[in-house]
Amino acid sequence: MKFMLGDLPVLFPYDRLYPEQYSYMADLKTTLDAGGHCVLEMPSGTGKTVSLLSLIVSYMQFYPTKRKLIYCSRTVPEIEKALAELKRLMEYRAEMGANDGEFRGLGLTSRRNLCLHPEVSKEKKGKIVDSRCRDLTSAFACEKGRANPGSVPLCSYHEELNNYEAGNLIPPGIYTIDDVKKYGKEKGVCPYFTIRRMLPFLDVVIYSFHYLLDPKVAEQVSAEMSKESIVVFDEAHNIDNVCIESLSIDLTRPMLDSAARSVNKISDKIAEIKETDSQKLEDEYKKLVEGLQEANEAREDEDMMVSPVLSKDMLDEAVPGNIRKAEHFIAFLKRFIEYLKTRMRVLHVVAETPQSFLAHLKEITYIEKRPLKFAAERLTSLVRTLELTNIDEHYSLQKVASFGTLVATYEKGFLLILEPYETEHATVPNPIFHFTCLDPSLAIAPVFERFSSVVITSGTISPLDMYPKILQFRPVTEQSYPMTLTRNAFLPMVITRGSDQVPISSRFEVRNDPAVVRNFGSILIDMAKTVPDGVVAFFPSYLYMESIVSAWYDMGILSEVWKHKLLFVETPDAMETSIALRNYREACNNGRGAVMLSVARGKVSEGIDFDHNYGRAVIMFGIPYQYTESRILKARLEFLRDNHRIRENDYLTFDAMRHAAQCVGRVLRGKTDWGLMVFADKRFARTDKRAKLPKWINAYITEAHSNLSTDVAISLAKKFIRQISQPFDHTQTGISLWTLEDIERRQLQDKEDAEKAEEELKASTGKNYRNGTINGNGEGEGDVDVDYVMDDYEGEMDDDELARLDIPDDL
Amino acid sequence: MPLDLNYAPGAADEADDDFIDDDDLPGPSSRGKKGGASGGKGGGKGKDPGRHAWEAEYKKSWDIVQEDEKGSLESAVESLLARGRRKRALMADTPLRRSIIRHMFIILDLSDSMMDKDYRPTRFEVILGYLRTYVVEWFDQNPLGQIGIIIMRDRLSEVLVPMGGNPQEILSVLSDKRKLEPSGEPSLQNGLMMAKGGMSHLPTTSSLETLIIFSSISTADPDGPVTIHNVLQEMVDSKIRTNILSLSGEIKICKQISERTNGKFGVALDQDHLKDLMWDTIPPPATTIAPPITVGVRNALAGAGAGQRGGAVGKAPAGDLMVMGFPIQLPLGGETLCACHGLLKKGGYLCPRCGSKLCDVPTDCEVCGLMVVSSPHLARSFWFLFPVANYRVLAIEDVMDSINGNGDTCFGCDVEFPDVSTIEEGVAQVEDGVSPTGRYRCAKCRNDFCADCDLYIHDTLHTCPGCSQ
Amino acid sequence: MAPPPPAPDLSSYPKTTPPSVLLVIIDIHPLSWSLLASPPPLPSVPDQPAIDKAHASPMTLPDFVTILMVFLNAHLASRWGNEVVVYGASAGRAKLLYPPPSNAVAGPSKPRPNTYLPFQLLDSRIEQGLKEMAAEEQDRLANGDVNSLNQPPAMVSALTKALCFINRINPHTSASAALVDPTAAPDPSAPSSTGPDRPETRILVINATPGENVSTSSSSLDPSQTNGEVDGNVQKASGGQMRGGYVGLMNCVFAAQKAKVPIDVLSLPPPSIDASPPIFLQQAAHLTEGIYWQWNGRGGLLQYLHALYLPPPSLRHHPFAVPPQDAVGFRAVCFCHHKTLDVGFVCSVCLSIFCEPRPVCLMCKTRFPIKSIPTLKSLASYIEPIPVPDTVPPPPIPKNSKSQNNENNKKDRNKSVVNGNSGGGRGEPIEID
Repeated sequence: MKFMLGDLPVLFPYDRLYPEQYSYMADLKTTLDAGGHCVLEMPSGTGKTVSLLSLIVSYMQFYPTKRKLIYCSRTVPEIEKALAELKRLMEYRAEMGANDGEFRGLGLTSRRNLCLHPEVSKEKKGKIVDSRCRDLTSAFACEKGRANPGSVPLCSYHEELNNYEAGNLIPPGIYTIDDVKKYGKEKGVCPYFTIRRMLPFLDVVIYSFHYLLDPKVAEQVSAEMSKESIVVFDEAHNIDNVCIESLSIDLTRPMLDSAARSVNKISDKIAEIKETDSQKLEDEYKKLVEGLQEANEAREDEDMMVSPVLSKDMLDEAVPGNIRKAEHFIAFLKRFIEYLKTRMRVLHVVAETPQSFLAHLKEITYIEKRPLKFAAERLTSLVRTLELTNIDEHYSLQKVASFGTLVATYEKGFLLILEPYETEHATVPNPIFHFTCLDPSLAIAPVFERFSSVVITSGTISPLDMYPKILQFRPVTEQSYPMTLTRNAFLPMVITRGSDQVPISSRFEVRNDPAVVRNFGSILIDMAKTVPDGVVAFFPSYLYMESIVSAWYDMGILSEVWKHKLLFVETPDAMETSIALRNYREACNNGRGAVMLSVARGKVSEGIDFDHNYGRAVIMFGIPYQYTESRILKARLEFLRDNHRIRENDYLTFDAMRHAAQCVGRVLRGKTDWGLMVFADKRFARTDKRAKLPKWINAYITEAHSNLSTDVAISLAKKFIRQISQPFDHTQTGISLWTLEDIERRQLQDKEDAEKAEEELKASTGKNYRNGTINGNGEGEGDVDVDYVMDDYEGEMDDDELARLDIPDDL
Repeated sequence: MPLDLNYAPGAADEADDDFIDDDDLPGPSSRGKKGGASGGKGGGKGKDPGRHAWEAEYKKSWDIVQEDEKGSLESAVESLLARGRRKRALMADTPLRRSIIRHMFIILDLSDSMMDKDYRPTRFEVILGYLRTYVVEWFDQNPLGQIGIIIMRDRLSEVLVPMGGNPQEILSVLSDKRKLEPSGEPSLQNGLMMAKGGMSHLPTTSSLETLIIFSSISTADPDGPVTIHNVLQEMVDSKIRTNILSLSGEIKICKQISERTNGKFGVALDQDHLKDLMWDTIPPPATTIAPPITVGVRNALAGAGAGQRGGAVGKAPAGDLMVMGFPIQLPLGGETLCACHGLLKKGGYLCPRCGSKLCDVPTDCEVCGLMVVSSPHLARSFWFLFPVANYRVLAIEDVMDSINGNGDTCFGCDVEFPDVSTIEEGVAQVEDGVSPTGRYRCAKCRNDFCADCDLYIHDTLHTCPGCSQ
Repeated sequence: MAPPPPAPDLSSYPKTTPPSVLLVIIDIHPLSWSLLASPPPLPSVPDQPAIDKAHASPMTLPDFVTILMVFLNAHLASRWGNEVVVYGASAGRAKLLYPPPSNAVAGPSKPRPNTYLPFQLLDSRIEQGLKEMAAEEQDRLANGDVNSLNQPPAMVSALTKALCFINRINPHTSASAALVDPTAAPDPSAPSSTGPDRPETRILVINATPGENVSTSSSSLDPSQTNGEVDGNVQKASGGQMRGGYVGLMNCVFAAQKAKVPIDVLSLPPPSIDASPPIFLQQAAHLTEGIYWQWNGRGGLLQYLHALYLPPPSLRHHPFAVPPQDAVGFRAVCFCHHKTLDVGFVCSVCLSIFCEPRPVCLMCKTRFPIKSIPTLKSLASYIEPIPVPDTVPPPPIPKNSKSQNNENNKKDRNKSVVNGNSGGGRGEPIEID
C-alpha cells in the first residue's frame, strides 16, 4: 500500500499494516527529520524490520540528499531475513513504479560464509579461513603471483575481480547472501571481496554490529561510510555488551606461551631474512621513521592485523626509536610477555587501573608507555615486511600486542583484573588476565559522532531511558509501542509460590532449598502436563541449571516430566545444542511434545525463535541476575555508579529483566502466535522488577495474575489454552490491521496525537524511572501497591542483595 | 481444588468452602473470606497482614477467574438463540448431496489424562456417557451408516468394536467400564493406522471418517521408519476424513491431521461445549462422493464399489436408482426359520417381494436379492429435503398491525404471547434474530410461534405445524 | 382413587410413577363419524358362529365423547398431578380443545354441587370446544367449499402442536434444550430425562378415519399456494406438498422418539368399514413404542381404553400387559404420486422414493443412467405383494379378534395394490422443469 506520511510518500509492501507499525514509522520519520538518534521498542513479530526498511528507503529515495542505510543486525539468519525483506520491498516498489534505478543493497558477513575457493571454503573455523584467504589474496602475495605466475598460489576468484571496474563489481539490485554467492559462482568472482569493495557504493548495507563497533574491523570496513548515513541497530538490547567486548581482551596462560613461541619464530624469520635481503628491513625502518600513516596503506586485506584502538585515539607520529629495529621490537615483546607471565603467577585476585599497571611494568621491565602504545601497529608492519603466511599461528601474539596497545592507550573507563581461578571453588589455578572495558559508550561514541541519525531498536529494550544513559547519547525520540491484539494472544503469569504456599525464588540463599527446588519442579511437571507441544524453560545460569536438574533427577521429577514430554538441555557446546534443538523441533512437530531446558544468557535465549507449536509456554525459573560475584561485573557496576549515577541494583535488575524479556519474548513471534509466559519467582511480583519489562508484556500482567500459586496458575493456563485454541480469524482488519482508509482517518488528528504521546511518554518514563530507583533502595516506602502486600522481609532480602553487591575496598 | 471448579459458576460457593478446607486455615480463613467478599482490599487491616493479605490476594485472583468465567457463559447463553438461527441459516441452503452411507471409526483416547477431574466426575465418565447418547443419535440420523470404536492406551491401540451397524452392540461394550480402564499414554499413530486398516476394504465411494476424542496433550508414537506423518499421508490418500476433538488445547499434529484430511478440529472449552462439538459431527457431511451403483446394501457396504473407485473421485458423479423393498415386521410371535441364518428366531422382517424372512434390516434379501430397508430409515434423512423455512422475526410494529389477524397464542404450543402494549419499554433489540415481541412468523402459513417452538421446530421437529394442515 | 399398586419386585421399576400428562388427539372428521355412526353389517365369520350373531354397534361422536370423558376423568383421578390436553383434528385443521387459554372465560356457568370440579371443567370445556369446531365445519359447508371436507383430518398438525406443547412443559427432552442452558450438565448416565418429578408425557391418537392414508395425503393443497412459499421452485413446492403428509408424520415420529414420548393409537373404524389399518399411524405407534389397537366395532370401547391406555408408559408391560402388537408394514409413500409402496425406487443421493423408474431425481436433480432404467422396470414388474402369513399369536382379549386380524391383513394387501394403482388420480405427478 502507498500512503502519505506528512509530505513523504511511503511505499509499504503489504496492503495492510499494524497500527504500531504506523506510529513506529511516524516516529522514525520525525527522528530522521530532526537528524537525531532514537530508541524504539516494538514487540517482536509485528513487522519491525519491514517498517524500518520501507520507511527509510522511501525516505532515502524521496529526499534529494544521497543518504545510505547501514543496517546492523546480530546474527547471520537475521541479516538474511532483513535482506529478504528488503528484496521484497524493492520488488514491490518497482511494481508501484518507483524508479530507484541504481539501487544496490548487499549484506556483509565473514569470509567463512562467503568463500568459494575450493579448499579454503572447506575450512570450518573462521580464523583459519581468514588467514588462508589472506595468504592467497594479500597485497604482496598478489604482486608476487602476478609478477611470475605459479610462484605463489592465488585465489582465482579474487583475481577475477580485477577485470571489473571498481564500483560496478555487481549490477544494481538487492542480493541476499546466497544471491551474491550464486552470482560469484557464475561470474567466478569472490563474493566477499565483491561486497567489501562495493561497500562505499551501496545504498543499503546490512551487516553485524561488529563491523561498526569493533575498532579492529570497523576501521577499514566502515571507514568510507558517508556522514549522512542512517545507522540502524536492530535487536540492539545487548548493544552495550557488544561495545564492551569490542574493547576488552582476555589473556590466558596458554595464549602467552604460544605468543612466546611465535615471537621466537618471528625472530628466526628475521634472522634468515637478514641473510637473504636485509634491504627489506631497511626500507621498513625508513618507513617507520616517517611515521605510521604511510605504513597503513593497502589496509583492506589485513583485516585482522589492525590497531585495536579507536581511530581517533591512534597517533600519527613516528614510531619510537627503541622498537623501530625488528630485533629490538622482538626483544621488547619478549620482555613484555615474560612480564605478563610473572604477573600470572600471582594466586590472588588483583584488580588495578591501567596507570598502576604501567607504573609497575615500568619499574620491573623499563618498558615505557609510549612504545607499548605502538605494539600492535609495529607488529602489523613487521608481519607485512616479513610477508608471514598463515597468520593464525600468531593470533595470540597479536592479542598480546593489542593488549599492550590498549593498556597503554586507555586509562579511564578500563580495568585490569587478574583472576587466578575460574570459579571461587576451583583449586587448580587457571589464571586469566582481563583487560576489561567498563564503559560501553567509548566504543559507540564515534558512531554517534559520525552519523547524523542512529536508530536503536529491539523487541525488548526497556526501560528505554537506560540505554541513552549507559551509551551517553541524546535521543530525539524514545518510544515503546504496545501490541494491538484483538484477543490476548499471550498470558503472562507471575508464580510467586508453590501449591504448598512456600514462596519460590532463585535468590542466592534459598535457591538450593529443597522446598523451592521441588516447587520449581512441580511447576515444570504441571506445565508439561497442561501445555501441548513445546515448552521452553530458562534458568539464570548453567551452574544453577546443572545443580537443579540433578536435584530434580534425584527427586524423580524428571521421570515425571518424561511421562508427558521429552526433555532436552542446552549445553555450552553449540554443536550439541543445535542437535538438541533439531530433535526438540521434531518432537514438537510429531505431537510428542518436548521441554527445552536452557539458560537465560545462552545461545538459545538470544538467537532461537520458538514460534507457534515450538513454544507454547516459556517458564522463567528465577530472575536471571548476572553472577554478582564476578569482579568484572562489580567493577562495571562501580563505574556506572560513579560516572552515570546508576545504582547497582538498578542496573542489575535492568540487565536481568531485559534478559528475562528476551527469553519470554521467544515464544511470541507474531500476531497469529500464542503462548504462555510464566515468571516463576516471587520477586517478579514487585513493581520495580515488572516496571522494567517491556510495555507490551507488562500491560498484560494484571494484578490478578501478578501473584499466583502454582495450582491457580495452572488452572488459568488450562482455561487460557482452551479459549485461545478456539477457531479465530486473524484478519483483524480495522482493529489491529489497518487499510489505507484507517490510516487516512488517523492522519487527520495525527499530529497532536504524536505530540501528546510524546509528552505522556516523557512523563511516564520519567516517573517510573523515579520509583524504579526508589524500589531500588530496598525498603519500598515509595511504592505502595503490591509490595506492601508482599510483606516486610521483601525489604531485608533486598538489603542483603545489596550487601553482596557492595564492592570490597581492598581493590 | 479451584482448578476443578472454575467451569461452573454454580459451584462458586462450594468452591470457597473446600478451598478453605484444603489449606487448613480455620482462624483467618473466615476473615479471608470476608476480605475476599469485600473486594479483597482487606490487605491493610487485620493484625497479620501477610497471611490476611495473602488470603485476600488469593481470593481476588479466584474471584476474577469466577467473573470472566461467568461472563463467558452469559455471553454464550445470550448468543444461543442467535447461534441456533445462524446454524439454521446455513442449514437452509445445505447441499442436498450428502453422503448417506457413512463409515466412522470413533478413536477414543484412554490415556491417564482421561482421569482428569476437570470434568465432573471425570473426563472418562463424561465422555463415555456422551458416547452412548452420541452413538444412538448418530444411528438415528445415519441409519445406513456403520460405526466402529478404537481405543488408544498404553501406547497401543485396539479395536474395541469392529465396524458395524448395530448400536446395541456398541452400547453394550461401552457400558462395562472395567474393560475401558484408562492407562498410559495414547499413540495417535497406532490409532490412525488401525482405523485405516479397518477401513481399507471399504470403497471410497462411501464416506470414510474417524472421530478422535483426544484427551491428552501428546501422542507417544513408536519410533521407527514409519512416522505419524507417513500415516497422515496415507490417510489423505485413502480419503479418510478425520475429525479431532481435543479436550486440552490446540495440538499442532492434530490440527494438521484434521486440516489435511479436511475434517474438523475442535477444542472443547468445557463438557457442554464438547457435547456440541461431538453433536456437530452427527449430520451427514455434505459431500459429492458417489454412492455405490449397486442394488445391494451389503455390497455397497462391503466394497463392491471397487469398480467405481475411479469414478468416485470425479466431481458430482451421477447417482443411481436403487430398488428398495419395505418389509413387514413380524410381531414377536412363534419362532420361524430365517432366510439369512437359517435359524429359528422370533420376530424378523418379511421381504415384500419374495416373502422370505430376514433377521435384520437394512440388508439384502437372501432369496431375491432385493435391498430391504425399513422406510423410517429413509425417512430420517428427509428433513434435509424439506427444511422448514426460517421464520421471520416480528418487530413490535408488525405485531401491532397484524395483531387482530393471528391469535395471541403460539400456534405451536398455544402459550400466550406477551401483550404487545406491555413490551413497549422492553428495548427492541431485533438484532441477532431475537424478537422483541417473542413472535416468529412462518412465511408460508403466516402463523406466529414462540421462541421455544421456533427453536424446537427448526432443530428437532423439522415440520411446521401451520403448513402441515 | 389410589395410585397404582407397587410392583412385586421393587428393583424392576420405580416405586412411585411420575405424574403423567396425557395428550389426546381426537379425529372428529365429519365424514368419518358419519361412517362410524352407520356401519355396514359385519361380514359373517364362518368358523365362529357365536360372533356371527353379534352385530356391529354403531358409534356416534357424542357417545364416544362421553366415553372419552370418563376415560379422561379416570386419568385425572388416577394420580395427583396428572393432566390432560386435548386436541381436535378435523378436516384439514387442528385445534387445542383443552386446557383453554387462560384469558378465555373458564369454567361452566354454575358448578354442579355433586361433581368434582376439575371433572366438570374438563367435560364442559371439551364439549364447548367440540361444539365450536363443529360450528366451524358448518360454516365451511355453508360457505360451500365442500372439498375442504374431503381433506383428511390434520393429524400431523395436531401431532406437531402436541409435540411443541410437550417441548414447552419439559424442554429437556428436546435436543435444542441442551443448547438452551449449557450450564445444566446433563448427567450422561441417564440421558432419558424422566426424573422422578418430571411428568412423563404420552400422546393418544384416536383415529376415526378409514383408509390407510389417514394423514399422508394432504395433496389437495393447491400448487399455486405452495409455489408461493419458499423461492417457489417446483422442487421445494413438491416438498411443501409432502410436508403435511408422510414426511411430516415421520418427522413427528422421530421427534417423539427423541423426546421419549410414546404415541398410542386407537383406531376406531372397525374392520367392517376399514379394510386397511392406518399403517402409518401403526408405524408411528410401533416406532415410538406406543400401543396400537384397532377397535373391532363390537362395543366395550371404554374397557379397551381403560385396559390399554390408562396405565402410564412406566407401568406398561408389567405389572400391566399390553396387547400383542400386530405385524407392522414398513411401507413408504412415493414422492411422485403419493402412492403407498411395498417396493420403490430410491435415489441413491438424496434417498427420495419413487414409484417408478425415472431419468432424473425430482429432489436433488441427480441424473440416473438411462440404460439402467429398463432393467429397473423389469425388476419392478414382477413385484406382486405377498400375503402376511399367520404369525400373530392369539391375543388374550377378545378371543375372536385373531381371525379378524389376519383377514384384515389379507384384504389390506389387496386393497393397497388397487389403491396404489388407482392412487395416481389423487395426487397428480409433479412435472420437472
